Amino acid sequence: MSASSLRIALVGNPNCGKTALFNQLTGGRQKVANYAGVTVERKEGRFIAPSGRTLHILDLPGTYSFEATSPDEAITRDVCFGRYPGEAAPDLIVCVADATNLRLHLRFVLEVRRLGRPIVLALNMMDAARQRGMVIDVAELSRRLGVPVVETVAVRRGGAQALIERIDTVVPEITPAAIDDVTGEKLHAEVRAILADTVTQTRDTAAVDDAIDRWVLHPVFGMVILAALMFFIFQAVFSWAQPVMDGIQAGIAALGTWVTSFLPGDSALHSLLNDGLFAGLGSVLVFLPQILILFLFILVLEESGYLPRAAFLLDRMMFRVGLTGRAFIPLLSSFACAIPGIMATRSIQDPRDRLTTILVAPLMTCSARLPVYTLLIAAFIPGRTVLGVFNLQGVVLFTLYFAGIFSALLVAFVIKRLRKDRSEHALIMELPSYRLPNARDIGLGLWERALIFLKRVGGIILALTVLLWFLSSFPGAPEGATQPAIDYSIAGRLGRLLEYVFSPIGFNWQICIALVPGLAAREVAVAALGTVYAMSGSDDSVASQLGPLISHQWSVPTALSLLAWYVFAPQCMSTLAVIRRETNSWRNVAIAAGYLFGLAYLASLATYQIARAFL
Amino acid sequence: MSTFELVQGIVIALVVVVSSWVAYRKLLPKTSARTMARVSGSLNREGRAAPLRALGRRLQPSTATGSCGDGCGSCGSCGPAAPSNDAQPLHFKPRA
Repeated sequence: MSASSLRIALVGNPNCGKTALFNQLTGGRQKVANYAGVTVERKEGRFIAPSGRTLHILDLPGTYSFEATSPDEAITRDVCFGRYPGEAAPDLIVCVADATNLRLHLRFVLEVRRLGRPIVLALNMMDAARQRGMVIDVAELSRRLGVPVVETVAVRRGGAQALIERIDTVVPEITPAAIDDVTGEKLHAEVRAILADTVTQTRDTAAVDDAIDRWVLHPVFGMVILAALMFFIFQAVFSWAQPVMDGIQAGIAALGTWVTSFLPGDSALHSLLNDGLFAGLGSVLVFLPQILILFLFILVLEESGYLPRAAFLLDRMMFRVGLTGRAFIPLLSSFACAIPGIMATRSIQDPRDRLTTILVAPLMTCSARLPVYTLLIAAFIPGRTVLGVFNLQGVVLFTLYFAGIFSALLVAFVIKRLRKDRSEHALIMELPSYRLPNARDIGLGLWERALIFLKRVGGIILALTVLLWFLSSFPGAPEGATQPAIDYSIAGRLGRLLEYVFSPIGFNWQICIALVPGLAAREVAVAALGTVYAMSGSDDSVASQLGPLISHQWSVPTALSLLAWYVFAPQCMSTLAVIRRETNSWRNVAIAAGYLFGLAYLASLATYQIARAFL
Repeated sequence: MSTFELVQGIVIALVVVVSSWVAYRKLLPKTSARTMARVSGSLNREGRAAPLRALGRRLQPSTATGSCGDGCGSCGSCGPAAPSNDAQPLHFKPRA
């Protein structure tokens, strides 16, 4: 161990606050939430302690035991045992334990103690323990365990001060390793004995939690509450965002007019700025408020502790279709983005269950679909009120989200039938205490999401929009051409070619062009449509009015068909890359891409043909 | 050709080249990193002029420290390979 630097690993049961502590120590902004299984990979950070010593902090996935049953738990075990490739064993292990649930968390502390490495026990969430009337004799607990014990409140500023002082001022001492081969039952007995001497508490759970859970976990009322909550979220996405969206749209249009006024109207540079940047990027940028409203709700639900309850409610249904209850969190994460969702499947022990979850995760409606959905809904679905209170556009959005969930369950059921086996796993999941979401954390989370979105707009979306503009502009129209110039360009010809394949599902050549760059990321299709239509028309106002334009040019069956396409189509190369990475198999990528594109085409075909017959 | 047309041509060419490079890096991160490593290696070789060697060092691809778990669009900056790379591929096998 170097005197000037120290490698410290944060370990503990899931959802005990390791990542919140990691963020406190390193100033990092790793994702935290109030449910088990948020961290599934090893994260590293460092900070300079008051003494000037450099502390390297490892944040490891939570685990209940060193007998790893899932890939994320294996990472923690391997790091602690010094078996992780390219990584030395940590100099000091900080065991983080939820002070309100020591009966469960101390068992793992005893396991870690047996490693014979320097240990500090951080009793986290001490504020919540005190609120519940728990009294913990910290000195006695330290004496009984034979390790230093400090109190922390990881979610409060300065809540890790005692831990910093402890690990900075004291050279870690080796904890004597227990050499007896104790069984799980003996560990539990030891935990009970220690708690009997060191902890006084009147009840195991918080009274407030029990009162809320009586309603939220009720088989009937619980489902009603869950459905109402989801419905409210999608209503809010449509209703609350509109004024800000209108403002952004007007701002982009004004900026576009001002910037392009310095250039000759028929120049290529004018076209690049007007048709490429302002029409393309502007049509994606306006969806930022809707995305932030959706994430506001997701973050509040994540912090509150409600999500594991929803997993519990839906477990029976998920089990029937062949998904393990543990698939709920990965699938829910996929509503934000399929990539972390697929990564989160590492917490699923059974490889077959994990693969099923990975294959259906892209069907969850990620936030990148939102610009496509809302563009089409706003253009083709009237914004009238139904049943007195509901916004029809919000109802349609809810239906699209539900279609994604339903198709994921259906595909999982088909995979279950093909597997010809029965899953044996029951859902065992810790229900965390309810917590009032911290406004600062929510604000930071929204800021991060806004930055991610803006970086995408300014990065890959901008790059592909410029390339699409180039392909839509060159070669130029020949002498005496009667059609718009784009018809003679590379992109125009490609679109006409693809139209043969996609005309049975109602897609015109402009949509076909947009689908190609849209393979990189779903929102790119909106930017591409903006550029293609801006270049097809002569009116500059097209740049900021994509919605009204397509509502005049497309039929309703075409719009519905495109919506159906986006429910299924894997228009995201990053998702396919992560499937390859997580399954270590190109075959699985081919299966996922094949069945998703197949479903997308069939769904669009059925939607278009049926809609044409009835509308 | 007027001065405006010349400047316009240069600006558009630059914008298209940079956009192609950004798209290449974002969509094929590993391939682009390998390409950059090769270019950097050939420039930063013994016997090359000092400015070329400095350029080679600048072009050396940085070791990514991000994480795929960070979310959408972060895959261009993925950190170390997932442990599953060493593991067997995931396949369905009927239960015994």
